[in-house]
Amino acid sequence: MLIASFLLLGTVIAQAQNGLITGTVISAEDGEPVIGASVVVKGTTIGTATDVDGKYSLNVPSSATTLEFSFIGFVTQEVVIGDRTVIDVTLQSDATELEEVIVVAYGTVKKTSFTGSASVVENADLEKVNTMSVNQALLGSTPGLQINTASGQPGAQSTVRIRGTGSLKAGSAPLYVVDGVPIKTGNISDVAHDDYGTSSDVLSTINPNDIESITVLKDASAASLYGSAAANGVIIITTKKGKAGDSKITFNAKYGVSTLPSMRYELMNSKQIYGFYYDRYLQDQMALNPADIDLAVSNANALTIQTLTHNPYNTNQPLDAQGNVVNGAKIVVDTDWIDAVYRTAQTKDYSLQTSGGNENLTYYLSGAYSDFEGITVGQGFERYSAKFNIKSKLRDYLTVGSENTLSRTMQSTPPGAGGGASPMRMAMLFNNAVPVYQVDENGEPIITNGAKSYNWHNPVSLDYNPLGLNELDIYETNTNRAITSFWGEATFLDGFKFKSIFNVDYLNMDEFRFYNQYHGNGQPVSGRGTKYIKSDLGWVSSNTLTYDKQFGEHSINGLLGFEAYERRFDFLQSEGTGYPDLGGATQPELDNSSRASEAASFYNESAKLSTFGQMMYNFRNKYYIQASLRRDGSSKFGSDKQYGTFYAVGGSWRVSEEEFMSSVEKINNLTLRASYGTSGNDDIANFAYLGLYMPQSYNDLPGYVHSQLPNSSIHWEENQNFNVGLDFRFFNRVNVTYEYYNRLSFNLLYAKPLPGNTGFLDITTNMADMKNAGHELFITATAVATNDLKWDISLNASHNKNELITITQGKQIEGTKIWEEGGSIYEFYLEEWAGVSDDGRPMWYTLDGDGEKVTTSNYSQAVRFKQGVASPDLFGTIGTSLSYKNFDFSLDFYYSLGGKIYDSVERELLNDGSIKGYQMLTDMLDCWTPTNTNAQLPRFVINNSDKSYSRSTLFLHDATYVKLRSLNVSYNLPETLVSKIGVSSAKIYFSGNNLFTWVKDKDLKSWDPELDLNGIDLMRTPNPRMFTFGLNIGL
Amino acid sequence: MKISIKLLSIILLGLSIASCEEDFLDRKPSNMVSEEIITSNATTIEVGINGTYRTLASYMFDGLYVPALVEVTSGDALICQANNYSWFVPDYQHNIQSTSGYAGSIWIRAYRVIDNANVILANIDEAQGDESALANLKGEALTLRAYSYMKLANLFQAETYSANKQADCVPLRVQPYDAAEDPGLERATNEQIYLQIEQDLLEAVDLLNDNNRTGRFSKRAAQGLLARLYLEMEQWQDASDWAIACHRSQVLDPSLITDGFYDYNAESLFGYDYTETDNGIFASHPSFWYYMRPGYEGEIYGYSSIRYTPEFVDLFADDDARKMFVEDDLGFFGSDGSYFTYKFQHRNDQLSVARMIKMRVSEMYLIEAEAKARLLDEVGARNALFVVQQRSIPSASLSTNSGDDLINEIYAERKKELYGESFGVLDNKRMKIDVDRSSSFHWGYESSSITWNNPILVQPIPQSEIDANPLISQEDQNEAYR
Repeated sequence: MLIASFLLLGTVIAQAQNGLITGTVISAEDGEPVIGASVVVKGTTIGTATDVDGKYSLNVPSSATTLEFSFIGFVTQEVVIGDRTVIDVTLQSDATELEEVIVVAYGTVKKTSFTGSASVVENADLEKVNTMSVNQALLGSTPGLQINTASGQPGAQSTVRIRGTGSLKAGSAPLYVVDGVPIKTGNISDVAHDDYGTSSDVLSTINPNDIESITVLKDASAASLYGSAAANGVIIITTKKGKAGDSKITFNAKYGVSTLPSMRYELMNSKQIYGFYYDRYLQDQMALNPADIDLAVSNANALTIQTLTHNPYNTNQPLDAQGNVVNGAKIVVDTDWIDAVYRTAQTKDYSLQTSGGNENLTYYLSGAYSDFEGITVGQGFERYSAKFNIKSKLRDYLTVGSENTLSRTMQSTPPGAGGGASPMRMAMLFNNAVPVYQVDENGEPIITNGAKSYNWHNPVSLDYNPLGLNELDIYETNTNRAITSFWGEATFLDGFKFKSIFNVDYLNMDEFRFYNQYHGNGQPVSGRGTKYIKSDLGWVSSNTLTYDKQFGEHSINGLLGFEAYERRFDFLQSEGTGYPDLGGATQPELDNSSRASEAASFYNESAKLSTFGQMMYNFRNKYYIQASLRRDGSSKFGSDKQYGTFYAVGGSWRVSEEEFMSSVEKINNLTLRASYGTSGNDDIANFAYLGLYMPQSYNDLPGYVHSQLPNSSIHWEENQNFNVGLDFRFFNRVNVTYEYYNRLSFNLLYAKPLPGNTGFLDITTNMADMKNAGHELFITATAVATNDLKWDISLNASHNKNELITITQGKQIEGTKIWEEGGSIYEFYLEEWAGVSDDGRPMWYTLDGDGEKVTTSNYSQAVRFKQGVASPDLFGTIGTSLSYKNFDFSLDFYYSLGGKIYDSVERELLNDGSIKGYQMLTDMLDCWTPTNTNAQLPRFVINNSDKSYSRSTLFLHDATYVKLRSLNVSYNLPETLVSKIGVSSAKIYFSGNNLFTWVKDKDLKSWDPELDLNGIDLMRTPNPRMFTFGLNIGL
Repeated sequence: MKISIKLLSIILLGLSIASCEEDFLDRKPSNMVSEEIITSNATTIEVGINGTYRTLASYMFDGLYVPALVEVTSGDALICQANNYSWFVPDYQHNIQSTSGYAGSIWIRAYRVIDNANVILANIDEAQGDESALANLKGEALTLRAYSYMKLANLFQAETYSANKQADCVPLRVQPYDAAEDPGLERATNEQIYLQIEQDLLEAVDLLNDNNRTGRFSKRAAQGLLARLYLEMEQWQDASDWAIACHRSQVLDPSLITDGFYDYNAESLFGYDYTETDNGIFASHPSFWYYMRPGYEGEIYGYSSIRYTPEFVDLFADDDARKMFVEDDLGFFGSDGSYFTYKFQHRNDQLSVARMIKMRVSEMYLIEAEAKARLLDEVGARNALFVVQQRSIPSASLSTNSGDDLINEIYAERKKELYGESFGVLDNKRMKIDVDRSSSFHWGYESSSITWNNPILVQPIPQSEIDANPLISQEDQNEAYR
């Protein structure tokens, strides 16, 4: 249809009485006709397209000199017309498509010869999301790669999983390799620590602007070469390098604005919450003082004010005996705490990149500065980074190079989650009658000495105020990082190459936390300052010998390697209390404290030794086979358990190369792949096999207590991965990749629970087996491709099923989940809500004597049932991009279907009267009363002991959602304009991220259903909505 | 070729790193040591014992949770209605579940103390060092174990010892835990646990030094614990004998009853040494009981959510020095008419910087009085009682009560002398006196009188224990939580 219309277009545009030229366009690779190839008179809009036989027919004006032939996936060809009337053209395929080289374990390989499962994400896709974090940029880019960023705090960690969670207690995150060397990732912060619901991911020291491409290795064939660290897959990051003869200078500037996404929690205002408590207090007081209504009214008002801790009205007796507002009374305090704690934040990002060189020396040099404010008061992230990559060909046979990354990040992270000092928690739970500042009876802030004073009284956290604490407390995490590699590569004999890399990854983190002496945590000790200095120094020496040779139709590639690795973590903490009261001039550094309250230091070391080898063979570029073997020794296990051996085997068959396929013209590539292999996981604490005593002093005397039981039989976790895949490309427009995988993890290390009577809650043992199996689909299609207009659509979908195969004792309860043989580790195991009883009490399900489900209003009787899995059934991205002349437009939707979320924020906002004064959802206004018996929520009674809002499925919701994740519009300034300014290229762009989320379950009120894998929503900064404007100039 | 040699040497350099393979993979921690080191000699064992005291004194065990729970579950104390920040409220209302955080925290810490003691006791006989030092350390280990079991028994036993010796108590572990060999433990009986406690204390009392070293168990503390134990076991003569051996007719000093309870004095037999840096700050004993003493102008406060009923305050004569109460009429804490006590202060008015006295001489006189009353030696009982009364009440006169009246008077005196000191509901259960919740200041639940053997006065076995222990199932759970 498209082809017909183009033909029509061609004939209409063609001028009269000009020469007619015809011909056929075929592909060089297989001799097949190229359908829909564009044939245009160069410099004009006169053109046509080839038909199903690759033939075209075009009327050209006499002034025409050159014809241009082009099609996606082929190198555009210009042909001088001369005086020919028949011009046949053979188009060469564009090397980037089929001969694409991808970065894999310990080298690069042609995509067609790779039997493993690897997905590549290019820089252009990373740029669509304005984030300072590499992980967040990867969301939705690769099937099977699941990224959950539960907190919108800048610099926060994301949970990253490739093909499901493969481990229980050991780490389940993939290995990150940058420019050939594994680096440290994760959170080593004490100030921005899990316990406080915050984090500082050291991966955010890497500037995404410096990344050229990312390869995600998913199966054994791809990853096993990394052996014991590869059980969870590998993410290979390749940074930008210079190209000979291509000198570039690029300047990038971005300015963005982040805001809170739409909130679905509807919270009570002052009038509502006052009325709510007043009505109930009045009832109670009327019952106590039936004769004296005035006393009842007076007491009810007083009790309400006491409960809210502040009177939001301008009079002491604002409501009367009917519950109505008296004349003259009005609300003067109605604090929107969400608005007070969250703000519109700015993001700025500037970078300058230069690269270039000649055949003997290439370089890449960049410098950047980023400043991401967080939307929660007090949050911020700044980064200075520089990159210097150089490669020099010293001799014909010898090349050396160096890659260096330097960065410094500075983060401020007020606590999140349920911590008492968490501004997010206070924003949600402070009722609107609590003022931010101390106010008079008219709600006006009281000014003392020219300044307002914060109000520190509230029903939630003794002596806290989120804005006040923000001015007085300090939470700072600074990370300095240097990643340096030196390598040399020598070629010798015929086909041999030896490469030696030495890399150092040095992290230095200094942190400071200060609890002021006036209010909050530091008040009882007159201020507490804590300083941490940590360093994490790792070095890797990696040596590989490769052999590459083509013998006629046979092609062989061999690899032999040896690697040594050591990591040392040093920790220092010092703390002081007893700060002076110098008004606002008290300095927080420890010198100013009068008492040393803590001095701690320790170090931790780990080491690894590995030898590995790999063989790749192919026959006629049709049949491929790959095999690898690796032996690792780790210091983390007892002396006779240190070594593990891992192997993988893979093969692929390029069906489309077969004789019988040559007649099927439409299919450009059809490859079948399969692989099987093993890998290991040693990402556990360094000394889990030893029996240990840890220091615990008493009365300033040294003391030690028994802290860990020995387990000398602990050893590697092992993964067995099976993968089968299909790559399909047809019409030279559509690419489909489908994979099925089955990943068995066994001898999983986990904390086997022990009865408390042993003195221990658990012991680490290898005692479970788990399976992750699933399907992945990736489709990209070029709907339209002409000179001016290009329209692509892409879709990816992943489905993973997690199943625990064996676990000692058959099952184990883990918080809100149950781990049971045959079930997923993300299976919710909760008491089941059964509604409201006739007399307003909560009901849950329990089992009667016959095992039948009946209801009970006694929570201790409620029985836990399996309630469904937190993880989604299907997740992925649907995206489209359009480019027309100088405009580019793209849209990406991230979807997650199925799964469940347990909203503990909702739980804290519902209250049956057992806790007084906290903010509540407006849903509570409709709770059960004797006159409102058809309610969804049970009765509210002051000092209620019904325990209505105990853990149950009342807070469990379907997690299906679709998010408009990014929208990008960019405009490349035209050549003419650009040369007038004196630059070589200029692009302006606008992007929106996290713009809108549509949630299926209307009862799910979470800000952002993108949560951590547990599916539990806690108080945290939501992922913000971001609008960014940017400018990219090439000089 | 020249090139080959250069390359070969680079390759060899790379491979040479492998030669230090031997110890390259052997690493050890820098801040933790092995069991063999801790149990090797007297000095190292003392280090292990020090660490064990700290676990015992943790606010999540005997530093706060135990004293608070036994107090707020009784009839005299309550949690204030407003601004209690949800601490101890369900416990006060006798409305907790087996997943209650306090029960689980207490349980694991008690057993950690027991485990540390077990390891030391299993190895101390082979340890090197000064004999007398080792003997004292052995005594401390035995007492630590016995004390932990006493706490566990009092909180978790299905019924009191005197009501039913064969009732379910807690698992009895007296050997170090061996993960590979251990068959698991079910709930032992009261009799088994109490016999073990008795055996440990009788052995300890002979080994411990009589130096009353503060913050640690000494001979006198062990004597006191034996007196408590025999009182509970209703072995009245033994109780009386050990109480006398402990109090040694020491004269009680009037000034020491009001000195703030934050430091040891001549009447302290055992307590916890908290330093400025390891007390629980807001989560400490004085934080919950404390109110600024009259005349104090400053603003230091803790949770201050544990209060007393006016009925309890009325028990005290007006000239009773122990009547350290202030009515709650402050806007900030919520005016509800109950009473703060300023019995427990902070050193230099710094929140929670205080030692915690766990046993005093006056308790021994009261034990003697009660035991003798049961033995029908009412003269002896009245005399012992009078020692305590006359110290605090200038106008006190020797009691003329007998029979049940005398017992009730002793019960009342125990409350007046020892409120806030970890007795509370334990006295109700032991003395078979119903918990009186008739005061109008009690709130949040239903019955005004709870019989002394009501199952809700017992803590639940933590759900985590039931989940992880194949020998304890839901049917073995305490009655109120099944």
